[in-house]
Amino acid sequence: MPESPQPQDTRRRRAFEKEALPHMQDLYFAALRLSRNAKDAEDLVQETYLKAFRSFGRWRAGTNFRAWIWRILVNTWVDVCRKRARGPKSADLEGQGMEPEARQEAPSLLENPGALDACVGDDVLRALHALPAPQRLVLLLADVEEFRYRDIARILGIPMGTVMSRLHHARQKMRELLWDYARRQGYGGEKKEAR
Amino acid sequence: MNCVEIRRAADALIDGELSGAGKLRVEEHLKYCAQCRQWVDSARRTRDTVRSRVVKPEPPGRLETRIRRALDAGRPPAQGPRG
Repeated sequence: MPESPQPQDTRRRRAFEKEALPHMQDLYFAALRLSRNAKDAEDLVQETYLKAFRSFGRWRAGTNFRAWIWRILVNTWVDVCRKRARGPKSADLEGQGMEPEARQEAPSLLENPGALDACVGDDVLRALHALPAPQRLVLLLADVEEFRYRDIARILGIPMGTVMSRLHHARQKMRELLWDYARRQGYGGEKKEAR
Repeated sequence: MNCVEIRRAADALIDGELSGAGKLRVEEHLKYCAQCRQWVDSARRTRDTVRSRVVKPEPPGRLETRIRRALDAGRPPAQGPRG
């Protein structure tokens, strides 16, 4: 026969749900971007909530719960990737493979900044998925979730300088991809074959 | 600061993460460098495009049910460590 929950367990559970459940939509969106399919995304979010609940006693009221649970999501995803021996390797998550110097911007986009207006939500999602995992994560955190750099550094467990470098490369790559999509849609006088 | 350094700092500028002397140096450079201004504008437009185009779907209703069931089954230890 299952044990009945103690009053302190019930209070803890209520406090956790009050803090955590409002973030479910954001975490699910991120999980979809990381896992790339709904089933894995749901598993990732569920595991994140379970881990967060188990270590809820470590979270201090008044501190940034959102950043705290995001860190758990990211760590859980890294664990899943490692266990399945697919997806990004740990070295990839630490930012290997980044280009050391800023590349030259494609002049066409700089001269046609309005081209980005031609891009729709699906273009942005496709471009996000085309980014290497470390860049995708930092772009999600900075541009979609609007976290401050110091929070991104804490969530990813990397220095601020790495956050800035990664974001720089991610936005540069996004620009190139979105410009390419805009051109495919006929912006700039060039129309390519359907994808 | 040269143009490469300015462009590296452009993201922090548009995100409001630059302050003090660093911010002043970038702003001074942008006054006379049209190409870097174009770069900063492009970075801002890219960020704003991502921000404005992304629509987050509602999670499926079953997800909250799954989470609640998982929490029912995985009650935390009565006194977790604090850190």
